[in-house]
Amino acid sequence: MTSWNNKKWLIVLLGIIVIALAVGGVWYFQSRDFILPIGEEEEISFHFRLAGNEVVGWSRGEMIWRIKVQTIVDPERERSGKMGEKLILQDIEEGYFYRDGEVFFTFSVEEAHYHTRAEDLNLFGFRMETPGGDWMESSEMVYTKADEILRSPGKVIGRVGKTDIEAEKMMVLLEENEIIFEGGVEMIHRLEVD
Amino acid sequence: MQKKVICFVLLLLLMGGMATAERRVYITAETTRYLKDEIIRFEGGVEIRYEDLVVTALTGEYDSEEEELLLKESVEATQEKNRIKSPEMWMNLDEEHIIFRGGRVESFFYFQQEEEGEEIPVEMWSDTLEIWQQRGEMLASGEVKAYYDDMDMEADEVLIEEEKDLLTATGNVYVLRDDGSWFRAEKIEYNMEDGTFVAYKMESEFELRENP
Repeated sequence: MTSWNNKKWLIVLLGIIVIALAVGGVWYFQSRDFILPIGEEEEISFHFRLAGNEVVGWSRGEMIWRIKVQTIVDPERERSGKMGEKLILQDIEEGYFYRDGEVFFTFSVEEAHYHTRAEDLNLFGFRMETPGGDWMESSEMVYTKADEILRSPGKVIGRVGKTDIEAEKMMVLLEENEIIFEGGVEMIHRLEVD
Repeated sequence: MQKKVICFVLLLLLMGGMATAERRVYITAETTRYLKDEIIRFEGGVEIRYEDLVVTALTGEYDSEEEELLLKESVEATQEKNRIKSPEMWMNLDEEHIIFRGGRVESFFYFQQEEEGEEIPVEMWSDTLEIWQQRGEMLASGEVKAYYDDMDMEADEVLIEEEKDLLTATGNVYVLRDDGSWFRAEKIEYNMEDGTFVAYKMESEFELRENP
């Protein structure tokens, strides 16, 4: 009876070891690739999904942004093997912000950082353009999902209609469909020639 | 005394310029909001400059679809020595129609004597001041008071038609001159070109002096 009990415990122990090795092995092989495989679908988080060479940000079932990207780097995986909270998107072809299912504006950036926990997005070397020809430039724009706001922490310049605009800060309230320029806003409006 | 109005309507020049030449309007504010429905809102230290015209206010709103601009709180329009102060200024750019309103409107401007080249200041207060650029007309209404040269004038309405060089005051018109003489009338028409006027239903009091 005692021998049978010992065998049972041994089997359980071996089972645990096998499962642990299997999980560890999968984790090990996954963590070796810190550059995420572009072109394959991968659920990185619930609201961030790789499909082809595009990454897409969602909120409440609606697509908020989409970026065509060639390289995604995960620095944390490189260091510790664990999936990081920040992914670096490089070699970006083009990006889009959406409003009511349609393109609100397109943008180009030098680099983007996606924060997997907060689902925020930092866009560096940002330039946006609307289908109507308006444009805006800033060294950085930050999209925060919690309040659905796109902010420029620094100076922004651009053109809306026939008006050139320069301001210390800019906010795009995506839900309210509102753009706010703050801090010494200077506008030059060109009048039409009759 | 031939006199002619100059620079009375500050924004007439703005509107005229806007319609005929390539120009730039400079707008500054602490905050500018592009809202839904083509509305742009200005907040804090709003300043609009167009050539030598400067309009300031604390807040403003522009409806680009209707082409209507509304400036609020401490509105002041200045051009050289001319000035209009008002709680509100509304402007339709398409119709070239401007209304100063929202309380007492204070206007300070100049008549210029053509012959002597002298500028005579005019101060005027009214509840509203309405300007039609295309018609070249300006209407001050609501307890209008004006101080001009040697006379004070009160009326319900004062209409200035630039093309006709005509100032028409209507409703409870009262004119008091520095020498103490005065008259009341239902209506007066003042010719700004030659300085003559016609008064309707007039009542007057003046002192007859003996010829020395």
